[in-house]
Amino acid sequence: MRFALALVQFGGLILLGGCLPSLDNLDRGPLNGTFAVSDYYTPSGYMGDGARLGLLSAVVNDGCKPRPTGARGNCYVFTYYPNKIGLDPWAGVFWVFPTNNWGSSFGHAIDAKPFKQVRFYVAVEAPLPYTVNNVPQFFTAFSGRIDPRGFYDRLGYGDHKDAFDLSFAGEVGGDVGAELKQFRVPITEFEKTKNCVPPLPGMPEQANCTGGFASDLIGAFGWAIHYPNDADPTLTKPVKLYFDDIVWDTEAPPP
Amino acid sequence: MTTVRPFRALAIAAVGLLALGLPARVLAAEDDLGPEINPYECYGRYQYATENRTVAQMHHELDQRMATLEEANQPRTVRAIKLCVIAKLKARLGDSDAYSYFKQSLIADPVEPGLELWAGQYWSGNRGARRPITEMAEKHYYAALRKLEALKKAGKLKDYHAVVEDWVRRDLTVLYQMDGQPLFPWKAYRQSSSGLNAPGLSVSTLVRTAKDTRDFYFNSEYRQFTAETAFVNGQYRSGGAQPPYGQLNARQKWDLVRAPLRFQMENKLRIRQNLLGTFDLLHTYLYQRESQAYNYYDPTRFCSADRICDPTLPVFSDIRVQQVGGGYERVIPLYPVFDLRIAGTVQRAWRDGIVEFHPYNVNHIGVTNRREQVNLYEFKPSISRFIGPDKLTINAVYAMLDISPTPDAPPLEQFRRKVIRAINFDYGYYRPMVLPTLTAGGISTYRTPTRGLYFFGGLMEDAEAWGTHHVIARDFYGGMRFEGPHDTDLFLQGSYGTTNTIYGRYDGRGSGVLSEPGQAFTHMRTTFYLQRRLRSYDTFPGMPSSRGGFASDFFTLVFPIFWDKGLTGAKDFENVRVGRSSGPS
Repeated sequence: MRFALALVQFGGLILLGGCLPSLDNLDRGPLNGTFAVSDYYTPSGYMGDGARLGLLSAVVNDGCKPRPTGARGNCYVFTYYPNKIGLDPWAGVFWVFPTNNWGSSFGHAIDAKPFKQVRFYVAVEAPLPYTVNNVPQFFTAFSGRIDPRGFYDRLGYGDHKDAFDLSFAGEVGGDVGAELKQFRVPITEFEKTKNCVPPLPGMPEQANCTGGFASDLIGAFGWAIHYPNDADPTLTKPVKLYFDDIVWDTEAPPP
Repeated sequence: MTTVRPFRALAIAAVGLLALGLPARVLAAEDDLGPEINPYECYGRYQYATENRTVAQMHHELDQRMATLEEANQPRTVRAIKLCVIAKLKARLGDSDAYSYFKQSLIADPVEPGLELWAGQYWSGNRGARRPITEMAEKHYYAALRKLEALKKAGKLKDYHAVVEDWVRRDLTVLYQMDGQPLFPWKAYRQSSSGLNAPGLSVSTLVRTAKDTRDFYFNSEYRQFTAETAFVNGQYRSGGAQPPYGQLNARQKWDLVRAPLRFQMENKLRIRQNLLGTFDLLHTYLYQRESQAYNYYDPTRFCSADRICDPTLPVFSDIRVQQVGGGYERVIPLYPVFDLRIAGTVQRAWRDGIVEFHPYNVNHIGVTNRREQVNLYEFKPSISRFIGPDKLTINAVYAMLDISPTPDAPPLEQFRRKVIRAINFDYGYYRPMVLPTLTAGGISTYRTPTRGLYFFGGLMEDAEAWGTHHVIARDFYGGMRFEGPHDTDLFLQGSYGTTNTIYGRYDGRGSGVLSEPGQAFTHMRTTFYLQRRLRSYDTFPGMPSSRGGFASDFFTLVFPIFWDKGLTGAKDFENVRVGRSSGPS
């Protein structure tokens, strides 16, 4: 009897010993207050040359430019080398939720109403002039915009797309320079509702909207940039991009 | 040899305290002991009482010997042999008081070294959990060496004592066989009688190399390839973000099967001391060439007309692991309950080439390795006890690998940990068995002792956390192993494996734990092997003859068959593996 008891205790000790942390109760509800994008979203949506290993690499919280006062979330340094296989040299990255979600599942629920702006700091160090065939090239940033356009429907997962579509463009070497500079993208009432089509009577509302407002956010932030072919026709010099304080904010941008 | 003296003094003092025999004193009283009796009398009588007998008959033999143990005016040496036979019979039958009879035999005849040999063999051969109870066995083996020296000094050594000495030294060598090459002399062959309390320092290096689909840790490659395919085909990779979209094609699955060149070196510095137990300093180096998929959007670097590849990138990443740490091990006799083995290690590892998009040893601009640092805590207790003549052993493993967090992930996704928990039983059926044999007249049967018929079973869980995702692999297995009376062994095992990925939901729509669609699968592995012992360590009791300092101990030929069968999920990697391997030592 003593032996049997000892066996049970021994087995119990092993089976009930330390294990992985619980996955229950992780949820904190829809995003409804100011948040740093990197607290929920991962820069895992690499595009263009970014999808080719080695051409676009990221370092997090290391090698950043001096951080702005009160900066939230992570800071990032991206280094971009253009492809040399004849494809149009451009690259970009999306911060998506969950990681690697290109629209095969919902993003994070969001209560769009209180949000007034997306703000971020960016700096670009690149060979100049930043032109292609003498046409100035722009650094573009965006929020929302994930749209698989039927890709996941075909694979059986079902398409999920953003109802937000915010964007910003700044000329590299002009608006966007080698020093960190803050940019703000206002989120107007129109932006919160423009992609939410009112349902027909008796029909459900589209899955990414609630009460006429966008309520799902897959890609919280993203950027894309073309390589300045004119400045370096040999396609050997890198373009470095610095990001900091990427935030969805409930405070309105200054007028 | 002056350095030996303190240990000799210590050893003599310790043995004196334990009253296991003080050569000077007992030799003085030798005249009272009775006739000198060859200690192999005990061995022979024990063999007579057990060979070809059923367990009931062995019990009968034991009862008879117990009844005639105490006879008037019998010499002490005669009583010592009787006690020794009873002790060995009790050890064979699993009686927990066997050792008390060994002790009584040593008290009855404190001079004879052979009786110490039999007591030592009880601890090294009968008792223990996965490992012998080394510290108790040592006491008797070194006491035997001391008594041999005393007899030699007194000029009373008999011819058979040369055999006793040979067996003692052989048993001690076997006792330390997992330690490695001794660096200190006291516990090294030819062991000194003062070696009991002297520290043993040994070093061992185990080098393995292979070009194989299977790694050195016996992980299932079926599980690995199937899990990789499921992950790539899952909703977040969709068979790769470039053509061919959707699912891996046949060529990609074919390419996913790889047999990288693997090299591993395990170094161990072991310090052993009778009172303290066994301490290890450990170092492991592992290198696997082009072994790890590093981009699950394109795991096999698929190239086609509409998908241009970078020829400077390898298909798979190298892996390198460096691991250092320390360990402790000891088997503690806790009879009449059980023998308990405690074993554990604490190690620190540095791992390169595992993190996706960060291949190791790739000389390509913009490609960087991301080194993981891992703290490994491992605890491996075992308990064992006799159930009649049989033996039940229960082993457990708890290992936790705390892995450095993923720096560029959101806080909830940074956490990395792997926990392995396993428990299994092994029931050794040691009763004599009636086996068939081919004779001139056809098939007949005979009763024979065997090396054991073992039934085993267990379950293992390997759970790894990537942030809010847990990949959980479980194995449930059972089987039997028959170690025959002659030179053939059989092994059969069935394993049922499940793999699943669960994740904690935190998308703002409410908590919950869900399974990742498409990542779950189950499979079955059947393992059978036939083993032929060309040279068997247990068929020659003394030290084998050596040449140039090397002696052969065993040599086996193994013919294994593995069959991996998919039950649910993708079945692309079902396989049968047949081979031959050999193991010399």
